[in-house]
Amino acid sequence: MQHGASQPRGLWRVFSLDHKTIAKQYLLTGLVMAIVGGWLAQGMRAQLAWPYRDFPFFGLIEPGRYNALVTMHGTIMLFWVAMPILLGAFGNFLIPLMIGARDMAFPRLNMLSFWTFLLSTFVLLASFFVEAGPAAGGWTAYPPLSAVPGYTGVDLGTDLWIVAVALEFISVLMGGINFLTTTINLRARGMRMMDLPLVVWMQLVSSVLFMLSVGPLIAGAAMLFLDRHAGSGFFDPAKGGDPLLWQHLFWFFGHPEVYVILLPGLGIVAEVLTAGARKTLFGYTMIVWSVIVSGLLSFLVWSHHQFVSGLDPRFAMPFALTTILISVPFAVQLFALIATLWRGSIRYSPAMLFAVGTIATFLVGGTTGIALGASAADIYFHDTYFVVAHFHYTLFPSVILAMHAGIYHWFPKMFGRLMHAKWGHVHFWLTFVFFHLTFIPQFLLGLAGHPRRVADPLQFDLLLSGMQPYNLVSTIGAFCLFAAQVPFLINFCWSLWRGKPAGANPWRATTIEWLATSPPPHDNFPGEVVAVRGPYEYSTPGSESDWLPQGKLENADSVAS
Amino acid sequence: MSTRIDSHRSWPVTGQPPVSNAVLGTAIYVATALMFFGGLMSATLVLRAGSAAWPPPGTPLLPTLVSGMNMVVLCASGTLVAWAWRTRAQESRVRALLAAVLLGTMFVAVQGVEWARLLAHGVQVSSGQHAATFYTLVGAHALHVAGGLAALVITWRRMRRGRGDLGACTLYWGFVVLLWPVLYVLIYTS
Amino acid sequence: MNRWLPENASSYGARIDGVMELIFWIVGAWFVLVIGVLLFFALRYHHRWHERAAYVPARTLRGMAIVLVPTAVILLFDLVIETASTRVWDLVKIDIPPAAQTVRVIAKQYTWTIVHPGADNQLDTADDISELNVMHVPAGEVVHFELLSEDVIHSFFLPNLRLKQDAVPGRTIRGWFEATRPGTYQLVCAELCGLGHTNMRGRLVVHDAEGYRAWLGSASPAGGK
Ligand code: HEA
Ligand code: HEA
Ligand code: CUA
Ligand SMILES: [Cu+2]
Repeated sequence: MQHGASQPRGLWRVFSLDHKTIAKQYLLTGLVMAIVGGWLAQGMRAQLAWPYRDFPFFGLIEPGRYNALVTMHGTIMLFWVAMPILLGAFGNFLIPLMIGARDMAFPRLNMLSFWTFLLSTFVLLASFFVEAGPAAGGWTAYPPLSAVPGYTGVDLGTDLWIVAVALEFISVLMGGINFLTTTINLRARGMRMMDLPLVVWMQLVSSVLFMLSVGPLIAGAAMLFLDRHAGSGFFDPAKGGDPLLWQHLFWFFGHPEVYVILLPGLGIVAEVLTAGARKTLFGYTMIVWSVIVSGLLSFLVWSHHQFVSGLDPRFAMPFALTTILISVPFAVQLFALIATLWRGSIRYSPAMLFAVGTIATFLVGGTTGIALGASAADIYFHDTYFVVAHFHYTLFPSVILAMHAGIYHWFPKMFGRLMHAKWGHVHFWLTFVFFHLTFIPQFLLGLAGHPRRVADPLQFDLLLSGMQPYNLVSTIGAFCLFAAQVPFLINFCWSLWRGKPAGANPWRATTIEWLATSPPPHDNFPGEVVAVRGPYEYSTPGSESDWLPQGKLENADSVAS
Repeated sequence: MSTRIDSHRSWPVTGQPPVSNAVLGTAIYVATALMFFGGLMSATLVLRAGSAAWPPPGTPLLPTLVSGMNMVVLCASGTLVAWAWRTRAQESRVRALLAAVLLGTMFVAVQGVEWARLLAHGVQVSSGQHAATFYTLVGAHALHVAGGLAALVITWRRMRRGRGDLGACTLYWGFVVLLWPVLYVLIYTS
Repeated sequence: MNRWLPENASSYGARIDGVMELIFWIVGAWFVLVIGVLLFFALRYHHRWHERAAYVPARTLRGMAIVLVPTAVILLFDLVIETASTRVWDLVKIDIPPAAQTVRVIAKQYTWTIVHPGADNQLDTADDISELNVMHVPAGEVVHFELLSEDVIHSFFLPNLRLKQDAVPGRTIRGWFEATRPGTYQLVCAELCGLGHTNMRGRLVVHDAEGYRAWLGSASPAGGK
């Protein structure tokens, strides 16, 4: 950790090695991309309600452009919003602060990780401006569709997509090395693994899942690139290749990836919930182990995305079994989070509302996952809007709701000021209500058989016979949902400069990051941190105050740097 | 300047983490890379199972013997690094490292020559599954060897100035070296 | 739930609906229970009504019981769902009953070519009847299909028959269905396959015995191909 002496000055400060600055850079990029991804969804929704109108801003959306919108919306939301915000921003910001470290184990690698990510962002955004537009083969990029330009009409756009995704993965990979090494090696004195705040555990397991699942997909991406440019035919049946091979490589990564996204979200919820309910976490050890079990199981479920893909039908039984069984560890986690509220003393800050909202919403997503995991039911549900509704009910809470919970909660630590609470409440209720308004109709559309990734719902009997109004409702919900983020945007920007100064610990929270000043200086703590008790000592019997901090500071510096 | 916490002292239990940051970070990367090669190798097996003849008739013979001897070269290089890591004698350590780098370079060079010869025989990535998996596996491994060589050279230069630690390098080079026999069996014995 | 599903027209459709319904009730009941508890806690333990929180770290198995016991019950329900689902899956996708005829379905950006076996009930003979985007089958008879694709992956989706199967280039995928009710049903492509994916639709015409004979008689053979 020799970088403290050479802190860059002036404009060079953007090349910071400080984990907190890097976290903020990730957060900002992720939020900007959230606006882009949300904006693309508006175009899709408009088209689905009123096919082939001349829309303001979007113009006429013909099928090719619609496919590009879907593909880029999904890709951006998962890889340029969920990953940078949940892992890049919260992981980077929280891990060192919560374990009482001065920085990440490899600050230079950390900086490189962000700049690789930013480069990947530009590559991806550039693909909007090349001839024939961006990739249009779905975020799953199934070959042969994605392997031969003639099939989608998109050529360079697909290459840029592959390159951008690969760069993004390399960036997360560098981040993962840092997260794991830091958590294992740089913990404060006295902090055992079982003293880690839950969100750090979640980041840890999430990183492990990512690192162990991404290899095969990178291999697949390399093979896809060779198919496109070197004349190989890994996925081309005419040359002895196998299109299903891609699906295996993709989903072996793809399913663990959804937990890579979910777990940090649940971790944020756990931190906010305990502070908001002034109550210790229910069953810490049990939660940690169930997270590990769900992580292990997540490597054994991937073919539930391929039940009707032409895979040997005898594989359906084992994969359906593992899939449905994964409800067990997740039930443990969710029940424990809910039990944390039991006999608590709850104060509803905006963060707390978002945390409870995350659980409530995810319950819908999780339980509908079971309907998809049952192979027989998935024959019908596969590739319908039921799936679309399922994954928005899982992704939206883990990414958007949990992210908001995290931002409202740690904004004071990041920027030293509080966000406006009243407007935070307004933002929550608008977001929550309009989210459900958008996606409940999609479950019903899915039941009626509405296929996904179609540009014109009016081609389908099922919709003509009375279901199209549901699309209309969903679209109105989506417009309002997008608009509901405006109060947040304004609140965020306003609070950066005008928010009430926060003080070190506005929520009277126990974990170690609150020992540092807000915002923490470059070296985080003015002395050595020692962990003296568990992370969630709220309302401990025998103690006057309703919280006892996990750490204390020793040998405070004589000279501030 | 503020007092700094020596990261090693902050290890909660022993006072010193059992594995240094560099070695731990490398180990994590190696695990990821193993999964990457695992993906490539299972893809190869799947494609091979789906092919009528492997290699297809008319394919020029792969340089089994030369690559086998090359494997000895790489293993020798690996042994030298492992030895350098264990030994205390500074002088011989630096020399062993240099020798390991040279042997490693030789490995890459021989592989490169063999590639060029195969290409000259008209075996290309586009020639079929057998050739495509061959180039992908060998190419991916060669990239990892090249990266390892770069790391070895940097460590060697540091070592000459009496600094540096061999742990991470040894781990990574060991991975690259031990992977090759596995790939060799998969690629050359069919 | 039946309100939303399209009308069923196959022999196994009701079984699939049954699985959906079973899951709906099991999972739905749990969902209502869990969300109810969550809401109750969220309101009841507001600090206005509950000033100091209890200290419940649940470090022992006993302490965790209120979570672990319901979870164990869920495990049982999981096995119920899995068993029910697998039975129906086997019926639809594995235990294929013998059939009177086999129809070939060839997917290609963005059409379905349906090759019917014709009067001799044999594919690849001169009297095969090839139709674009229309499939004719008799009601009440098991029909086999052979699914092929000539370019990218498509998916053969007959919502009313609760049947979906991807068509993968390089493979011939076999399956079956028995349409129970005469009528005309939509055939949909359910896998993104390019610009015309939306428009890749067709019809399944299910005839009664008489109608089917009439159709066979009137359809002109496409010539042996
Ligand atoms: C954060 C993201 C996330 C999460 C957490 C999940 C969680 C789950 N998902 Fe989901 N899923 C996606 C994101 C996610 N998914 C995405 C993006 C896709 C689409 C990809 C694409 O094709 O584009 C998808 C698609 C998808 C499919 C494929 C559908 C298809 O294409 O045909 C399946 C099938 O099994 C599935 C199942 C599950 C299951 C069983 C869970 C489980 O983990 C859920 C476990 C949780 C619970 C079960 C709730 C808690 C338990 C209780 C309240 C107790 C009561 C429960 C019982 C009695 C069972 N998902
Ligand atoms: C994290 C993941 C995520 C999120 C949040 C969303 C959000 C939304 N999604 Fe998306 N969606 C996907 C992931 C996601 N989606 C994926 C993976 C697919 C599949 C793609 C494929 O098939 O290939 C998909 C597909 C998909 C479809 C199916 C298209 C089709 O199959 O034809 C539809 C249709 O309605 C849709 C709609 C929406 C809508 C209306 C929102 C709304 O919630 C959007 C509302 C807007 C926001 C939430 C942004 C808010 C902005 C901020 C909060 C930032 C504020 C800024 C600052 C402070 C600087 N999505
Ligand atoms: Cu064919 Cu979609
Ligand atoms: Cu999955």
